[in-house]
Order: sequence, then C-alpha cells, then structure tokens
Amino acid sequence: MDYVTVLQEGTVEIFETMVMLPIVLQHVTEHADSKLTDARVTGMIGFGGTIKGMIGVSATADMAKIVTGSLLGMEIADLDDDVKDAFGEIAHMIAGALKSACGEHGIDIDLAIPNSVVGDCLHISGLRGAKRVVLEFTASAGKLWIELKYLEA
Amino acid sequence: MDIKNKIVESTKEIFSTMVMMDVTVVDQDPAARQAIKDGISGIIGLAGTHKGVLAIHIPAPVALAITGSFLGMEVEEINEDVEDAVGELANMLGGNVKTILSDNGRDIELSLPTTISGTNYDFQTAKDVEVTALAFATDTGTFSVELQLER
Repeated sequence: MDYVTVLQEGTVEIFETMVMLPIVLQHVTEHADSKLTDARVTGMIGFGGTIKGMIGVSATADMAKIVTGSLLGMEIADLDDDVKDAFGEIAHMIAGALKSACGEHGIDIDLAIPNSVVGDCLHISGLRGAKRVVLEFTASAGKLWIELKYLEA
Repeated sequence: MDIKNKIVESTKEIFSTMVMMDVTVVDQDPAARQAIKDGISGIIGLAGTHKGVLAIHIPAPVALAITGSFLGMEVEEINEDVEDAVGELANMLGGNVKTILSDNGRDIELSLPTTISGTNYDFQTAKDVEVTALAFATDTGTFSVELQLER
C-alpha cells in the first residue's frame, strides 16, 4: 500500500472539507530521523493490528492557531485547550482515513484515542526499526507536518 | 477489578526486574496533571475492545537515572538511549495493561510506543476518558504513570 498517497489525499481532503483551509504538500521525507524543531503543537494517535504505529500532526505556533481558528470558526490567540483538542481531532480524522484505506487493502487496524501536546523544544521519537514517513504541508501561515510511524507484522 | 492496584504492581515489577530499581507509589498529584518543565514522556496506544493510551511522564534527571540503571551505563543527557528506554518502558507497561484489561491480552492491540521530550510541555487527553494516574518515587525523584481509557 502506498502510505504517502493515502496520507496526502486524506490530509488534503480533511483540510478542504473539515478545516476549511487548503494546504499544499511541499515534500515527503521517508524513513529518516526527522526533527520537527519548529513544531509547537502535536496531536497524535496510535493504532494496532496487522500493522501497528502512530500518526502525528504537528504545526508551528502560528499555523496551529490558524488551523484551529478555521476548524472552530473563531479567533485563536494562544496555544490553549482548543488548539490541543483540534490537533487531537485532526490526528483522529487522518488516522480514520488511513484505517479505511487499509481496510480496502485487507489490512485490519484499530485506532487508539488521540492525545495532544503543546510545548517548547519538542522532540518526538519513534521505535528503533519502525518505518517513518513525514509529509510537510504549507498554507500561507506556516508549516504543518503529518508523520506516520509504522511496523508491519 | 482494581486497575489502579494492578498498574502499581506492574510498574513495581517492571522496575525491579527490568530496570533494577525499586520504586514506591506516593500520594501526590501526578506530574501529568501539570505542565512538564523538562522531561520525557513515553506513550503507547491501546486499540480494540478497550481503546486508550498508556503514558509515563518522567522528569529529565529521573529519566537519566532510570536509563542508566536499565542499560547499566552512565547517561548524561536525553539522547537516543533515553528515548529507547522510555519507549520500551511504555511498551512493557502497555503490554501489562493489555493483560490486565483483557483475558490474556486478546482483543487488544498495542500501537508503537512514541516518546516526546521537551523543555516545557503540556498534555491533553481526549475527551470522555477515564484517567487513572499514579505517582511513583525513586531515589532521584518522582515520575508518573497514566492510563486513559475511553468510556
């Protein structure tokens, strides 16, 4: 299965129809240790089954406020609970897109529940041996990263 | 079934047999409820009949001591060894929780563990979850273990 295409199409669609903020894929980094040093917010969700892994949605501070504001239809001044909720929810939606694409390929996965984190100098790491794909998207306000880490059984 | 006591038992067992460190449960508000100033968290998702997240939040000095004891070497900063050790702790705790929640761990799948480290960060759980949070003491300081389960 082409995870990059699934994530790209799923993310673009979710941003167009749910967040109401079109975003553009800039580049894809595969299987490298990526440090998202500018990320201030991350929403993430784990999944298990035939493949197990984790999906993370991270953004710069400005981007996080615009995305949340657009999703909720209100002005967002700080990286507050609304931002954390929004990023948890977006991670959940993107994982849902991955789950249904996996289902079409006969790969069965189940989703956990999302968590989100806001902070300084965040560094996210995966499990040694897991595959990792990072898609970098931009909108006018800044950058957003979708990260998939997975291990095929 | 008392999940709280079983998590305490599992945590103590993992620390005494794998990390080679004795920990005691302490009666204090677990760190997860506040912003974490400088530390690392290990997180693993549970999916299937029970959906949730198991997280362990460890202040930096405690994480260094735990990793040092786990690997039998001196660790001076939050590096890949510490991330691996904390991810592995989340994985082991998740494995035990899976067995606690479901007969022999069937019907629950674990995700991959992830670690997050930073100088000042703050977690938010999903809504409508039941949270069991516990604080543990080591010689270097306290850390917390948190289980969130969807209602």
